[in-house]
This record gives sequence, C-alpha cells and structure tokens, in this order.
Amino acid sequence: MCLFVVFDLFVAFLSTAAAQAPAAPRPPRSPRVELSVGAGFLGGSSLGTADADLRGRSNQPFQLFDTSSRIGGSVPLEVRLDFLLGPRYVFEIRGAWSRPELETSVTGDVEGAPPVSLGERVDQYSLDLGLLVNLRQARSRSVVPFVSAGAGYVGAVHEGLALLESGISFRGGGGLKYPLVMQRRGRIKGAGIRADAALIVMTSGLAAESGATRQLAATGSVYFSF
Amino acid sequence: MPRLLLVAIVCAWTAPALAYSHFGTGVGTARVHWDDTPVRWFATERGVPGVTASVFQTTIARAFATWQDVPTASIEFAFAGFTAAEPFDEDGLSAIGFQDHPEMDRVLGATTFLYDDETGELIEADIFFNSIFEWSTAAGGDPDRFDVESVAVHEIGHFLGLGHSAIGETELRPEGGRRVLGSGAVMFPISLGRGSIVDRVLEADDIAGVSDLYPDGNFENSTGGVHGRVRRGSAPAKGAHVIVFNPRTGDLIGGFALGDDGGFQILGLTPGPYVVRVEPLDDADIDSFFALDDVDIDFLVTYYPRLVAAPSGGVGDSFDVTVRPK
Repeated sequence: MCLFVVFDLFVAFLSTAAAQAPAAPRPPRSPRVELSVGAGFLGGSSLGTADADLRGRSNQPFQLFDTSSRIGGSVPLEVRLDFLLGPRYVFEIRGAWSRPELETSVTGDVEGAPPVSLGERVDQYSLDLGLLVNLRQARSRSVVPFVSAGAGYVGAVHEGLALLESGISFRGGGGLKYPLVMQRRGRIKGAGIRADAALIVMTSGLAAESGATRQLAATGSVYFSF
Repeated sequence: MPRLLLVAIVCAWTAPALAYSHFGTGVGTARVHWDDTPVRWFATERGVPGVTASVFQTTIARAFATWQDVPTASIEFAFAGFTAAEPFDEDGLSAIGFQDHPEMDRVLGATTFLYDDETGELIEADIFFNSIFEWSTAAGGDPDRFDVESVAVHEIGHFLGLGHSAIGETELRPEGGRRVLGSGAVMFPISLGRGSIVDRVLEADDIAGVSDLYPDGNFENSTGGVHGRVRRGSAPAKGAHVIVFNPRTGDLIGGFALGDDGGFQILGLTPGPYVVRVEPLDDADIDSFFALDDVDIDFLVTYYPRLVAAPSGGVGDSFDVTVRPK
C-alpha cells in the first residue's frame, strides 16, 4: 500500500535526523505522526430511480421499463496517517477500500417481462485529505473527542481492475480517541483506540447524476503515535 | 478495380422497407464511411408547397449540423451549392431534394449510396424526400405535415453510413403497417408521424453510432463496451435485439446478436454498470435491419440477471444471456 510506504520513508527520515543531532541531551519531543488501521461498516444508500423512456407520441415519454438502484452496505478497511500540527489540529490522509454490491431493480417492462433484481459487486476506493480537531488535550486513559472533515477522490473498480467510474466525496463527522499508552521516549510514543462516525457525500461517480449519494460510516481503529 | 455498389435505404411512414443494420453498414469487414471531409453536398432547386428550395436548403444544413456537432465524432459537411442534378443520378454529386414518387406511398424519404465494396469508402450519397406528402419546416412542427428536419436528420444518418436502430416499440395498425408507440433513436426505421419534431434531436444510440464510425479525440479511451452471446438452449438466438441501459445517465443503446454463435458487441458506452435487456426483433420488418433469413423472434423478453460493467477504454467480460421460448 502506498500509505505504508510513505509512512516508512517518513519514519526513516526522522530516525536519520535523530542520529545526526548533537550529542547534548534534548527534551523528549511530543509525537508528530499517528498511524491508524481499522474496519467498520459503510451503510447502503439509494442511487435513485431512472426510467428507460422512449420518445412517445405527442411529446409524452413512452416507458420501456423503470429501474431503482442502490449501493449496498459494506465493510470498509481504513488506513489513516495523521500529522499532528499542534495539540489540537491534525492534518489527516485517509484511504479506504470496500466491496459494496450495486443493486438495480427492474420493473414495469412494457412487454411484460417479470420484475428482476440485478446486482454486481464492485471495489470502491477512496483517498481523501482532511482536518481533525481534538476537542480536549490527550491524556493517558482519558477519552479525547474530536471532529473531522475531508474531501477527496472515490473510484469504483470492476473485476480486472477496470475503472468503472470516479468522482468526488466529502466527509464530515467526529469520534473519540482513547490513549492506552503514552510515553515520551522510544520510537513508538503511544498507542490507543479510536472510533469514527461520519457522513460521506458522493457527488459523482456511482452517485446518481441528479444528486448526491449519502452514506453513513462507522469505523473502529487502533492507532500508534510516533 | 473494386466494384461500386448502389444501395438504397428508406425512412418509412408506416412500414419500413429494404435492409440495414446498426453501427455502420457491413461491406465484408469494411464499413460504409466517408474518408475525406468535409463531405460536400448539393441541394436541388425544387421546392414543394410550404417549403421553398431556399428554406429546404437551410433546413437540410441544420440537420447536417446536428450530426457534425456531436462532440465525440469527427465528421464535417459543406454545402456546395444548388444543382439541377437529381438525387439517385450516378454523377459523383451528393444531391438532396424533393422528388415525386407516388408508387412509394409509405416512404417519406430514402438515401442511396455509391461506394467501393472493398474499402467501404463512400463516393456519392443522395437523399430524396417524397413530395407526395405534405411537408413543413415550422419551428414547432405542423400537426398536419411531416417535418423536413426530422426526416433529414434520419436520412443523413444513413448518408453517414449508419443503418437502422431497433430501439422502439410499435403496434400493428388494422389497416396494415405499424404505428410507433415510442422511439429511442432517430435511426429507428419508422417515423413518429405528422407533426412530430422529436427526431431533430439525436439520442444516445445515434451518438454512439456516429462516434463509433467516426471517432474523435479520446472517444475510444473514454468509453467502454460490453459483449456476449444470446442463446436459446444450446443454439444461438440469431438477430436478437440487445439493449443496454445505464441507470445513471438514462442512456439506451442497442445492438444485435449477429455472430454465428449469437454474439454481440456494443461499443461507445459511458463507463459504468448497465442493465441488459434482450428482445425479439418484432417491432419492424426484419429486413429493415439486415438481410438474414434465420432470425429468431420466438422468445420472451429477458434481462441478464446481473448488472454488466462497461469499463473505461475497454470491453468487459463476455457473458451469455439465455432466453426462453414463447
């Protein structure tokens, strides 16, 4: 994964910089980077209805059949790389992958074909940049609430990695962090768990052309501070 | 020296005639097409009641512009002047005009081609409008007359090398012929009737057709396709009409299972998931579309049980649609 590579390079850079520092003792620094990995649930959402209309007489549409589509719920895997800009503000890069099923119901066929429900599973990737604001300073064994928002790219990929569609997504929500370990020394300066809840709005891609698609997401993660 | 062939296609009032297929006219492995653009066309100097020669020419120019303005196609046209030559004369001029054909009492217009049967390159194409009918160029149409521009857009589709589309629904008329209930393409072979001007505007199927024949810029990389077979038991359902529908864009685009194994391929699709519907070719005379004598129309309308993906710049996995007999 790209994110892990980026992280490894960053850690390597920090280690090298530390090795070249003067021998004089320095106060231990606060963590600067957090990596979290987690999974959760991404809710389903309607993709809208669409009629397969022909142009009829007297400018009235003549319906061949109609459809109603939705994107099913899925279990996303999430990776976040957080850059701590201070005690409260965090710049966040988030990547996620899920495998929802697209479902389309077909009804009202003009030649009497029975209603059918059609599905197809797709891989959905997203990568977004965002800002997280801690609402309280982190202390060991103390819950830290936060709010976060971001925007980025979402792509739907079919089997064989053929890109089906791509679009823009916006994310807003919040959550809680619970530090389990905090220490001033050592490469890993902390670890904990976090829970996120967000509303994800997709304005194109698999979303219906006539509007945005809204999905609720909830994830649980473990994080490590460096 | 390749032979030159003269072929005619008509736009019918209640019953289509002669043969054609969609997405380019097959000539062996070549497609009928223009190699050199802009394609020069002439208008005859003859008018009919309600439509002067001058108004006819400007209306035809508008119909050419409708095809020329398709952003994903690269064909261009140029009006070369008025002519005393007649449509259907083999004179190297592509002439368009009115002619009186009382013997063709259900034919609004027709297009003839002169083309190289080895390369498919068009040398000449003529269009006639049957002056036994009453014609109009009124902006909003005339309920008692046929619209010149609508029929012109259809005939110019043939002039480009497109055949007929089967996206439409009809019913039999007691007095004979068919009545169109709905049409999903300008290239549907039967007119919606007097007063209708809807065929002035191209549909997704028409746009996919001309873009496939004259692709421009990034068309092939930015669109995708689907392919598969239509089967009835272990046999191909030859000539079955396959429609794909994109629920996101509302586009309907059609094709035919013309392969020996019932194979079909539909290109020029906006990438995304599609509903696939297969129906027998029973809404117009089969020879409106192609000259096959083993077309299977004895099966029920069938949906492929999954959504089918048209990937960007490619063609998705092949799939079989199995239809059941009526």
